[in-house]
Amino acid sequence: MSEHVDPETLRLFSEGELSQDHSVVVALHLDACHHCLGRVEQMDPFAEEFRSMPEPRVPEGLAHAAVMQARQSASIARADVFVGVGLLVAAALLLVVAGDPVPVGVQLSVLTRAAWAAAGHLLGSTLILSGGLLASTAVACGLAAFALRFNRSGQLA
Amino acid sequence: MRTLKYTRTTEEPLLALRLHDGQDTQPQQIVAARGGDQLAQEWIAKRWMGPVYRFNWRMLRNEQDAHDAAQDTLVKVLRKLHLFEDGRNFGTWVMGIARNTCIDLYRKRRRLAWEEPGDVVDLAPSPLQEASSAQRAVLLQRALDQLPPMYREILVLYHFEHLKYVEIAEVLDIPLGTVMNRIFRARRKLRDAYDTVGGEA
Repeated sequence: MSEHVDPETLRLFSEGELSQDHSVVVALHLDACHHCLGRVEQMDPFAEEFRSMPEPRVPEGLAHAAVMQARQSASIARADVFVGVGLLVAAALLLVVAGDPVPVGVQLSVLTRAAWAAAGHLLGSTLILSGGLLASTAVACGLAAFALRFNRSGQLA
Repeated sequence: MRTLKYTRTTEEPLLALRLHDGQDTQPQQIVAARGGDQLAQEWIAKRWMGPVYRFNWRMLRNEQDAHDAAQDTLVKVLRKLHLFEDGRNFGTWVMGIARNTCIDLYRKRRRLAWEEPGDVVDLAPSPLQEASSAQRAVLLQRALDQLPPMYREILVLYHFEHLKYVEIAEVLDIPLGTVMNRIFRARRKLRDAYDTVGGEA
């Protein structure tokens, strides 16, 4: 629709009387045409009231505070990843140095802990970071404790 | 999105200029912010804090909640920059995150559904033509406050943040046809609510 929309169609549009398909066509035109948009706004009974409503004042320093919080949570996430990777390396070293397989439960706990760290880092979620830190540590401890109850033959101690 | 320097022209007397103001976030700023550049992060936070705070303030109607939701939104934006797909509209991406954060806080505070059926249709003939513009604005604010959030948000995005229809569809993540249906229903409900609060005043 390169031409301007006729006044009657604009009136029907502003009153919501057009079909959905027709409204979409007019809306796409209005998104690109200041002239017709201005005419539709003239038909809006609340246009003046909307313009005279007060604007809230954005608190000073709020943007800076958000940046600082984001940077802080990012550094926590990085540290969490290091912890996860460190645990994996420690498990691998135990396998090599001790020459004795680390119980499956301990390995699982380490993997769980590392996965949480990676998820928190990748999704950028503070909730996953803080919740995951606690939950994964608890899961890791639980799995390790359970695993230590088994002897090497897989029987309960 | 919102223009910072809008001057009305004689050719377009009532036009709310909806085009971008030339200060939109550039791809290189996003790349720099992703890489940890604090200046780029500050720029993005300052550029988008206004629309984000105003949206939350108008939806939550509480300064402290708007403050918390706006800060939380920008933290999420900066932490999720790597998830932003190049070529998309950065502004609608930010406002989408603002909306989700706002919905979470709204539900937490009021334990209500965003889509709650809160019909305020109680037709009362009271056009209030004698009231001053400021008085009518107060009544309109009261009428807006009575609308269910799903209708209020679409009017806020259109009338206050001056988003285009296609941008509203992106923020709300719904088809354009649904946007049109919802905005027409929202306007009808607003008119009804305005008549009601006007009749009470």
